[in-house]
Amino acid sequence: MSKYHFNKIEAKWQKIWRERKTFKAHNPSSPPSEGLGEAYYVLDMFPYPSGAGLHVGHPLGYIASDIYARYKRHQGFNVLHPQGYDSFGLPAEQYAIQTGQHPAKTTEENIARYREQLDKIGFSFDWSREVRTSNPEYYKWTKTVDFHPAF
Amino acid sequence: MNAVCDEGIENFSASEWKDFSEVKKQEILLKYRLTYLAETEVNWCPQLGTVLANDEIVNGVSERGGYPVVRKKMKQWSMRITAYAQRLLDGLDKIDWPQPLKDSQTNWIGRSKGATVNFPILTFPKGKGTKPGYMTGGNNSHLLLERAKEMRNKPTEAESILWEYLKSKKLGHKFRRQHLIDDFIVDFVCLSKKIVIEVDGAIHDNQQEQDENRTSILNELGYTVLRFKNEEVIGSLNNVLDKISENLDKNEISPSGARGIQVFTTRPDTIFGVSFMVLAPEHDLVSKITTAEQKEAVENYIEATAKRSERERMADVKTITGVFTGAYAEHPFTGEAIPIWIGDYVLAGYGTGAVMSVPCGDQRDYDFAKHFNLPIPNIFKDADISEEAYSDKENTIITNSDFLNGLNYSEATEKIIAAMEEKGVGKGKINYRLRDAVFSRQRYWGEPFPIYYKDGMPQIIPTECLPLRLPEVEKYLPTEEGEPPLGRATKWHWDENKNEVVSVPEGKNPPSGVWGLELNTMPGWAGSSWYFFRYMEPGISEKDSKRDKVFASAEALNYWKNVDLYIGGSEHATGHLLYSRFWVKFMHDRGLVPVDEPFKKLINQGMILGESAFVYRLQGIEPLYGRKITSGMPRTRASFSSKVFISKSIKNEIYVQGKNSNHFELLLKKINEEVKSLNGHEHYENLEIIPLHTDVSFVNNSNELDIEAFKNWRTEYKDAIFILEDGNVYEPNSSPSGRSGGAFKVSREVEKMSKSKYNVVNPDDICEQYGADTLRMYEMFLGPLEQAKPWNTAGITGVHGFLKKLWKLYHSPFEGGKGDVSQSHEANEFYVSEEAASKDSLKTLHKTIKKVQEDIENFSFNTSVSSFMIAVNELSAQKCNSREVLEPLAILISPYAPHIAEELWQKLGHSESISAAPFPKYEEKYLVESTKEYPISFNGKMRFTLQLPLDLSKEEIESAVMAHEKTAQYLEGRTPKKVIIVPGKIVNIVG
Repeated sequence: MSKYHFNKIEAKWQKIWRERKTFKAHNPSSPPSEGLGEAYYVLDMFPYPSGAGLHVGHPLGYIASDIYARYKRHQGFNVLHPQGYDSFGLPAEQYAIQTGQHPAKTTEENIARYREQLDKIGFSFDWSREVRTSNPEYYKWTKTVDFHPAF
Repeated sequence: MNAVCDEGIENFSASEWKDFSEVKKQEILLKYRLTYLAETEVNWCPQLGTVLANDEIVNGVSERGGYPVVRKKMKQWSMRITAYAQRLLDGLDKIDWPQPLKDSQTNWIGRSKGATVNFPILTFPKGKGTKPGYMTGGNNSHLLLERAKEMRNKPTEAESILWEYLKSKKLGHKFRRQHLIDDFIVDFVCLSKKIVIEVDGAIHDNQQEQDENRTSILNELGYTVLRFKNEEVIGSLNNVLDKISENLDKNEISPSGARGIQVFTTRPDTIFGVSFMVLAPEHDLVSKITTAEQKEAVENYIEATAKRSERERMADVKTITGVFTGAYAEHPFTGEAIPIWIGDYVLAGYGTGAVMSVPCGDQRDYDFAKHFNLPIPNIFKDADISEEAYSDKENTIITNSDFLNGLNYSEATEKIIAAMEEKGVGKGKINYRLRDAVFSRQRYWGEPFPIYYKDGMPQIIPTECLPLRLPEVEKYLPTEEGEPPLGRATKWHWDENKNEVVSVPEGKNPPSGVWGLELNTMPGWAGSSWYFFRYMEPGISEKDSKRDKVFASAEALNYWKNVDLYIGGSEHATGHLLYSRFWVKFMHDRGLVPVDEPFKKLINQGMILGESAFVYRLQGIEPLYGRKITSGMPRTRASFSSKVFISKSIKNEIYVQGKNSNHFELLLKKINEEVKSLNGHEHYENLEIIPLHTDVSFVNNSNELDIEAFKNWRTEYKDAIFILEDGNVYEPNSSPSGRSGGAFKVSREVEKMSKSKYNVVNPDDICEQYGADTLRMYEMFLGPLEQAKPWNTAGITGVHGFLKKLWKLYHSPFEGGKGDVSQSHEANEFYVSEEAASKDSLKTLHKTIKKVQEDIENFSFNTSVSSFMIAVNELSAQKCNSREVLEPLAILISPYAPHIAEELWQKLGHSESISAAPFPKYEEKYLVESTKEYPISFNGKMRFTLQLPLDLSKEEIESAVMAHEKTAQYLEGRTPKKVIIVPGKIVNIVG
């Protein structure tokens, strides 16, 4: 009766991880602040959400970093393993020139597709900390650096 | 008090600063900002309508799209990464990055130690040997010299009075009168201090404009111009002399005086080998020094150069081009006249845009000298320069070089720099190849600059008014006037009073207090250079998030510090990975973050390549005689793309055997039948085989094509004909696929995975068919993380089979084993035994723990997968179903295959996620061998071996050996004299 039903098992655990926020990283002031392990930060270079979606070459690095992040959790570290999107860029603009569609719209669609694909692979990302560079609430802080009142 | 200013910025006092206009103040301030506005030579890509960074250009064309790139001057925002050049180099020692990546950053920054040297420019008469440095006239000197002489003889009254006080170094410095500078005759000049004194008569009141023009040219040449009226000199001579003295004290100028060419050289020790100079064609001096005779050639050359990109010019070492300017420079030590050329191998943006050419020591200079037949003096002792330049500085002994003779590279370098500094002709300097990074892009889809222009000067939008959102535009193209796409926005002005973005109707002037916003956007790296800090602050949906107040809170930044492990592609070596380091250093300097490097450890994963599939289509080739050959036309033959596709082995056969192939005639006939049905005649006499990409999803693991899927792919393939492996023609109804010999096979080739090659494998399909855990393990199994490797879906079944076997280990009680519960449990139901595991199983477990832990810590994930396979095989063979082993095994495997591990963990009775379970502890004792196979010798001769526990005492070993039946057999009744026992090693029976 109990064969290896990977589809069922994988969907089940991806749902549980999401609901229980299993991979949420904790800052010292946020609960549970006691018994937090040593901080360890594992990061992937965030992807540009292209219209073509992911192919099997893209997740190679993400799988490696995910193995390492999970290993560090087993060792008791408080692991920060986030993911986001480098979502400004030329391809979206060229697509906009060709089709007239607003790059924000196609970018949004591409991100949704990326997220769906990434979720299927079972990464232990803390998605609550997601960053999108095209989000005004993110990029307004760039000014802190590039137009820092240095004089 | 004077402000201390950098090179290229005038000195000013505090009161002068107060008097500067707002515009002037801003201009000076911009020179100190991290992000500054400047006229920059940029890589302009007309097709993309944007500026590209150096790392976005490959082989002279844009990385995206492969469009041509030209050099162009534009007002752009730039970032002062050069200010961090040295620290970016030093920081590399502190971080754990792959050496090749560090090397490429080191090369990109390109530090070199050398000297800047000033070569004064000589003027007419050209080429006649040496020429004194005081001759500062321009190219028309020969016309003006007579006139100057004349004026010297007929000074005005005021001039005569002043000359009395200036001549013979009366003010401590040598002055000349009626002296030629460029095309001007100045009244008096002190060349060593670069001070010009003009005494003006009444006529000058009417020619203010000309005078200003003349002054500005002289200023450009580095002279300070002091202008006095005749009556001032005659009436208040003391005031005039005081003013002159004051300026003489102030001006600290190199004694070489006259205008010159600044060069930076990494080999100042070779200065006596200079036989010519080369300027970049864009160098500012070119137009000023070029003689009338050379003007046309020089201008043509400049025009030709503008069409080549910098990369192209750097990379192309074969084409040697250049033009002589007609002008000469003076060697700062020998005083010899050195011809000045222009050549595109010298880049305007690198160093000073000029080189002192030492053909005996630099290959490009050598090639240039050979090509244009310029002298190649040899200044290296015993070096052969008949074929090529001698650039081995480690084995250099300088000769033919005056006071440097006999010195080696470092001695000579030190000595010549000291000599230059003493003589005031140059000084030691560190130079970097790195340039400031252009920060403006003429694009829509990027971060808008929080900047508006008030009276042409950039102003920053107050922080509390941010974010500035991108405006709507009707098209995402540059405007007809060539402005960036934001130039199309109707609502893109800043109202200073309302502090908001407002519209200004087209054609109307903005009302007061309303200014145009910046039309460029930032490059992608604006956002990617600091994003890793943003993650440190909890997401906006979290209760404790401060993301709306700060980019990240101090608490978060101090807790997470920097990225411990960063994984990504190596293609970002001199882009993202350099810019991020630069930004973090700046942020650190400004007290924004506690760290000064972003990524402690970095790993570049290798690329996964695709396995493309090719089908072969036949083409008929027209016979030569079948075509009318017009004279001058190339004798090409027309070909006809048939609908016939041939399977791989038929293709191979025809390739090898040509017309002798069994299938040749048949296929040719097929093509001609096809043609005949189209136009009524057949005339093809030869075949050509064209490979075409087919989508890999139509091909199974045995490289067989799903013919129906292929036919449905494109309408042009709808009625294609397929010649199968066995030579038969495919018929849809007979469905030959799978029939022995009757399949249609494709060829495979490894290429970059891309949509255009139809070799993309979608991870969703793999997850669907085999599961995410299989995908994860298989990706790791493909090979070392950092290497490029081809994807081969066929191999995945091995890994998938392994996971099934792992599952079974927890589900199938073994018959006859410790957990033989076949009577009470149904097969295939989850089962683990609570009994202790066997020593062998514990050994398997612990050697796996050890191996996997080492592998993960060394990022050798591929070898871990093999270890898991071995472990599961061994445990299956050992019929192990003990919790003592299976529980830690699940944890070991969970980083790789987290879903199956969680499921098993739950079945093992845990309610918490396996991800929080402590990693199993490796214990060496389980790996220690517990028995030893002792060689048993009789009088030194080994006769048999005996397996004994290692913890036996000598006495116990002896009694065990003596009790053995083989011992009695070899002793043949004798009583041994002595039994030698070395525990753990040997047993020798003597006697």
